[in-house]
Amino acid sequence: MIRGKFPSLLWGEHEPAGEIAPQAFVDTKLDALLPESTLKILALPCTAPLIAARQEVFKKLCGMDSSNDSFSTQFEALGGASTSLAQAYDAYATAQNKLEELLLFRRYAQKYAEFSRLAENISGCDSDLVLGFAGYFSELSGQTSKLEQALAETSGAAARLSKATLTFSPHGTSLDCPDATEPIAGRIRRLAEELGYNIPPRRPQKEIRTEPFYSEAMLRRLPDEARELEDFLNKFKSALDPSITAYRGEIAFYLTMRDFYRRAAKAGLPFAFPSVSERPVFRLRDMYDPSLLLKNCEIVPNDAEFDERESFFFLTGANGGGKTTYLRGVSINLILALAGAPVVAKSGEVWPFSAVYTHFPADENFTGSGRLVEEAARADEILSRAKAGAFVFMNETYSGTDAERGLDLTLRAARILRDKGAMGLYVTHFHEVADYDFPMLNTVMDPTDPSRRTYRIMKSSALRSSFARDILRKYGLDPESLMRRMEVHP
Amino acid sequence: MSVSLLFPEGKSKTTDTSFAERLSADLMLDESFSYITADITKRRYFLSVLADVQPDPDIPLYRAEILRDFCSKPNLLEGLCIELRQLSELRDDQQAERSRFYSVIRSTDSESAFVTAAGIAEVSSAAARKTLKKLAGIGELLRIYTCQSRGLTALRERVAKLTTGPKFEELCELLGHTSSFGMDATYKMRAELNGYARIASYELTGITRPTPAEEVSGLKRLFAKKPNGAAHISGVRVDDKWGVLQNDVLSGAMREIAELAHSISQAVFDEFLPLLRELCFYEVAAAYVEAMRKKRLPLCYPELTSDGPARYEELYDLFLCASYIDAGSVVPNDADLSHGGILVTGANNTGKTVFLRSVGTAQLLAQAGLPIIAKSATVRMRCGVYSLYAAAEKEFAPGVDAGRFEQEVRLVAEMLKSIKPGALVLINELFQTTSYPEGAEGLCGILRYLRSDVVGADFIAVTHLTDLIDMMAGETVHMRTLEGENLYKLEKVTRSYWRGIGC
Repeated sequence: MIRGKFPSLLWGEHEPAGEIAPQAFVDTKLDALLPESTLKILALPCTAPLIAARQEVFKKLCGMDSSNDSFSTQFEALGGASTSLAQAYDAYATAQNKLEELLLFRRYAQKYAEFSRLAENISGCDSDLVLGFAGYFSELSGQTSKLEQALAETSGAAARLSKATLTFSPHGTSLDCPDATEPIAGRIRRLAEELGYNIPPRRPQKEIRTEPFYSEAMLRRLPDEARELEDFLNKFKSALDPSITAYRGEIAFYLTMRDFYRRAAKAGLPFAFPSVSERPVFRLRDMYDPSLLLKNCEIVPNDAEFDERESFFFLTGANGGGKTTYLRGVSINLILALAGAPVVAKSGEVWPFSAVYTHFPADENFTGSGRLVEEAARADEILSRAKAGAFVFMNETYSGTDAERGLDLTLRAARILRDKGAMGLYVTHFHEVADYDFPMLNTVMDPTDPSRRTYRIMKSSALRSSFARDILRKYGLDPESLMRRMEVHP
Repeated sequence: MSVSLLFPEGKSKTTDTSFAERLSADLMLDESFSYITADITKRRYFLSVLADVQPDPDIPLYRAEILRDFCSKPNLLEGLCIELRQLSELRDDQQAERSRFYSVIRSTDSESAFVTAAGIAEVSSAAARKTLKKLAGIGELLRIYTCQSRGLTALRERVAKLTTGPKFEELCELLGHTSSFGMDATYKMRAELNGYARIASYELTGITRPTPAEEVSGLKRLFAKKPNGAAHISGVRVDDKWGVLQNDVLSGAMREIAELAHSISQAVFDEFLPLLRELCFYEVAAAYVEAMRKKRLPLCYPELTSDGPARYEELYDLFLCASYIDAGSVVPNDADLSHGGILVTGANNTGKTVFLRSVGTAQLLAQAGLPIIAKSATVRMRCGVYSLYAAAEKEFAPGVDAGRFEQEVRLVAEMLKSIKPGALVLINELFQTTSYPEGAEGLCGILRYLRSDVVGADFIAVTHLTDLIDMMAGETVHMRTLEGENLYKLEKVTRSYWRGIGC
């Protein structure tokens, strides 16, 4: 019957390429954008073939390939079915009396059959992950049919066991089959509605768990129906493999990510599938920091380019100029790219890095040792663990000391990482790093107003100039502006 | 379908009221009506209706019909207000009683749930029955007085539908039936399990109370042998030793009956208590009509047009009429406002602002369905009325981030965001806090923009920026206030007049 090792929709036959530390999700604020279950999957970077396989799934789900929109619909239905199946199994596994066991097993079996049928029929995506999944369930089609037939045969018995008339009298309580009497509340509701009173719809009542004595009375009242469900349970119990419920988390990952991209697209952000490179590079064009979706603010795109020639950058510039946002944007997009998901950018290219490390300023909540000691300890751990194939993001590290020492430590860390073959981006206020042999990035200021930030990051310095406005023009009410408005709407 | 006494069926539309408070203050409406009605709550509601300018001409007609009914049958207005106030008190009593009961439930152990649930079901059912009877009383009042207006006729029919016929009697009887439960009764219920094998639906289908002969009361009850009722029980016995099932299921069903009965009361309150507020509008309106009649001032229901002429014959200013003991000394003005752009100039204290206020007030009264203080009038329906008055110094509290001129500019910008074609803009001495040539140039651009096809609004602008007259020659009508014997009167100015005086 339906049993065996289910093929994973996330991993297929592949293994993760490495691991990303949970702190990276906190630093990048991804933990506020995505649920923990999704982050756990993002924490395992993929190998090149797996990135390609997952990208195929995302292309269909995120509407990048309009040739077959139905895959997204099918996958969503599969997600709903997997949730129902997992819930049905949990309910069955915690049944507390015989009546519950019989009815809940049948429900679990029903959800099992529904999921299997949807899985078998899923189509429209050429990813190995999906083809392997659908093929596996296709082979089980005959067994699914047998289960469906047995479910149909027992539906009457299940329905009868689910309804009763209860009589509470001073002599005791009794249970019987239901009759056709209209309930009192139903009569009141019907009359009030027929007269035209605006009554709210009936609200669900508080669910009450059946006690063993209820179960015993019901099974005694309808022994034939109880026997029918018992036979069904005995026949299928060993055939249904509960490990099927693991699909719930796998499908939820894809659907959660799809919703994330939909949200980004709604905010006007682009997304693209980075090509997988054979050389260590990470390139993004018109990249956005998706964590800014959490705020209602202007989001400015930027480019990023890391390769073997320029593998480690320092980023400096004015406060509030967008340095941390840029750092976060690059790091989030790298994590997404390594999970086989789209990047929030117009285009990109990625090499399958095996690890991502982040070092952001911690809250001032550490005690005793002081800020520098705490920062240095965290930084040292990264310096010792990072190796070739890792990508390191550092934000104002070593800022808790004097300028001379801070600069020394900063340069030392950057050199260690670069010498190990790790790529990196380092935001710092030590502008003197520009005097050393590292490529530099800078924040760009508005050329018309040197005090205004553009939130653009470039490999060049900012331009400067000034501006002025009169009050009417500020509100678009000067004669010229009004004239233009009239010309636009003839 | 609920009935509104302010809006004909399905014609209520939400309008932009963001400028309503400013308009009301600029036209001194609260001050005017404070001479007519002392009740602040009623006045505020009345003014909110006034400022909610509805462009549909059927709305003022609908209200005018009702106002005529109430003015000819003052006892009906008073009676309805009393009945609805009593209904409101009934709601307050019921809410207080439910709160008391629920506080008891919170402090009651679960084993007594049935007793408290039965109690609240009894109270709610009795309250619903009382509410229905009160509604029937309102229906009776509406039947006594014969009304012509569509609004009051629709209300009478709506109440009659809800409170007459065998179904209404049956509903009241059922609520009477659920107004009394007892521990000795036999309760029959229907229970249904959901997909998770939980009892998710449980409803009472029958209550059998013991006949008087079977009842055992007092001390005897403690020692009486339980009657042998086994023969009456169908199905199988349930071994519910501790009454857990009975307590959960029966109290749940009682609570549903309680909520249902409460929702019937609530449906009546939700539908009919808003009328109490709407009647405030008619109370103030009737007082206004009465007050102006006592002062022997002319009242007329204006003819309403969509884009035809707009004329007033002997239009009085409401504030002056309401505040002056001798209203006969107030000077009325004739005005033809058919041209969409009017500039009003004149010396200080010659009646420019009073004229602007009298036109603005008349516009609001007419669109609200009230008579205006004039011999006759034709009023053009507007989709909004906005006031742009020069900002007073007192408005600029410390910390405000803009100067007086910028505040005025900001106000104009805000208005332009929400204004719709066909609106009327009342402008009083705007942009005079900067150099006059610059102010005139700025205002000229804005007035042209208002009249352009993009906005399509009309305006009346009171101004000392005389440069505007030449700037907008041929685009607007120019009116000026007179002095001397004709003080407070206005006249239309021809171009030759200005040439004659060298402007």
